[in-house]
Amino acid sequence: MNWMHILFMCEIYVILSLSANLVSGYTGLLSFANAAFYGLGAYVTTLVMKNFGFNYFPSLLIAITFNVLISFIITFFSSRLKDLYFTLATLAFQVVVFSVLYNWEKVTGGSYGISEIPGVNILGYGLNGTKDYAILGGFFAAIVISFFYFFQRTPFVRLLECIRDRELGAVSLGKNISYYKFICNSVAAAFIAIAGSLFAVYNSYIDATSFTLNESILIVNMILIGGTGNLIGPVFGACFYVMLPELTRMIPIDSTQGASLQMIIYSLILILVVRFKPNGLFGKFKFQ
Amino acid sequence: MSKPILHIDNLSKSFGGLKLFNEVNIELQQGTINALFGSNGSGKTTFFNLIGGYEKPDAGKIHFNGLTIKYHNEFEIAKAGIGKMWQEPSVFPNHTVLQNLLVSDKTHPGENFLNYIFRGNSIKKKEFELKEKAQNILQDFKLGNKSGQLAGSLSLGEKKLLCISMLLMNDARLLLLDEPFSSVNPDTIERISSALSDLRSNGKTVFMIEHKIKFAEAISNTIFKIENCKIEKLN
Repeated sequence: MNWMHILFMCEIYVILSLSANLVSGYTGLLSFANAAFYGLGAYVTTLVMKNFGFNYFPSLLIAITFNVLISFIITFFSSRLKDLYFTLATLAFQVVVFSVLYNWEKVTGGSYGISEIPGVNILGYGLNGTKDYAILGGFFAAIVISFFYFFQRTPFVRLLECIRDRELGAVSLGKNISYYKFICNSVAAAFIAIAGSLFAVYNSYIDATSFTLNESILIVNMILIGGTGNLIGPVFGACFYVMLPELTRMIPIDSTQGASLQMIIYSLILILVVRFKPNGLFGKFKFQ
Repeated sequence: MSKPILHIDNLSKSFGGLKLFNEVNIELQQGTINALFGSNGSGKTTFFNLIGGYEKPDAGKIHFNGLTIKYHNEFEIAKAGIGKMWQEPSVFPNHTVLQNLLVSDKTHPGENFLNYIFRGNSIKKKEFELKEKAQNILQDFKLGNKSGQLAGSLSLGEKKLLCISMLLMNDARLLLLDEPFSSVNPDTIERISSALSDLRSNGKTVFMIEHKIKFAEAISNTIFKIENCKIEKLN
């Protein structure tokens, strides 16, 4: 078992689930577009590094900017949508992005993907091996966790929670709901770009199948099981989902049965959590 | 002599083939309490929604302090000073009473994301000032001992009082109250009446929908009635 690899994947999913939590847990908008932004972050970083010869960090900045711009456009068209309609809009966006990534062969490599992605170079030191990437991932995960730790007790988050609980009440107090949705979606898209870029440089290969609707559902499951509207829930959910396959591998059965067992355990846990802990294990907010 | 704060000119509104308002004209004076009566389905709540910008009129204009409501979003109208209490008081149930008041302030720098980068110190200072202001308002509304309690756990009457105090914290100049006296006990009716009278003394204008004519008449300066798609002034 490669613990450094598991740690790195935990870090990536912690970033993803915390970002999803910002949109779903604090503003109550259930988004299925997280994997789309994750994919865009990975592809933009890769394309900038490979085509323009940029180093990792400038490429990451470009990926973040790109994701924020796309999120502006999506939020502009969906800011008046509520509940299920917003979720459907994000679902449509997810499907569109996947189709583009999968079919635009000239740019994205289509089903072949893009290989030989350059590694990260920090002041002449080229990151090499899983341990180095786990440290880099840890650095970014720490930034994201600190951001949410700092923000969770601010008047800004208090207002987001109020919008989530009673949007009309917030409107009648003169709050511009669209502005807050813009901010949340943009910040989430920026953080997701970081996760995508890390994933690309770590694997040195990406293809569209890593960014399917299933991935978005997985991220939503993480925050459903861990719980939304706080810091610990999404972090727990992310680590739990990454660790579970490793733990099931310890059970002495063959790999085909092991995969089925994993799905059974996933489903069982989800059913039990939804039935007995509808807010998630550590959550404050229940999806209606 | 008080000056007009709300002026409505030839307002008309229909839903499909159903005409609700036909060339309605009314004016509200600043620092007054006004009540609106009408049978069920006559359009009282819709009328308030038109004033608050939640519905757009088919014709006519609504002027509030130089602002023509037809051309603004509901949150801009609320920001300009028209606060609304819905029939089901829209308090934030998972936050404490004090937090409900803090979130009601419309100038809080902490609600602007960029201020955390550029004006970090002013946020703490403002939060401290607002807490003091909020505590004073809660004392005035006799909710001081409930400041740490979740708003969702309050009784309906207390929620209505909290909602009115939130509008005060929001610095609303015209308060649209949808049935403030309904489904509350006599003691709370007394508390709400007294709070509304205090608001009037402080120059605020109250416009309320009410079925309990007796209570509303006792404190209102002007009474309006919706009948046959028109709004008539009764006194």
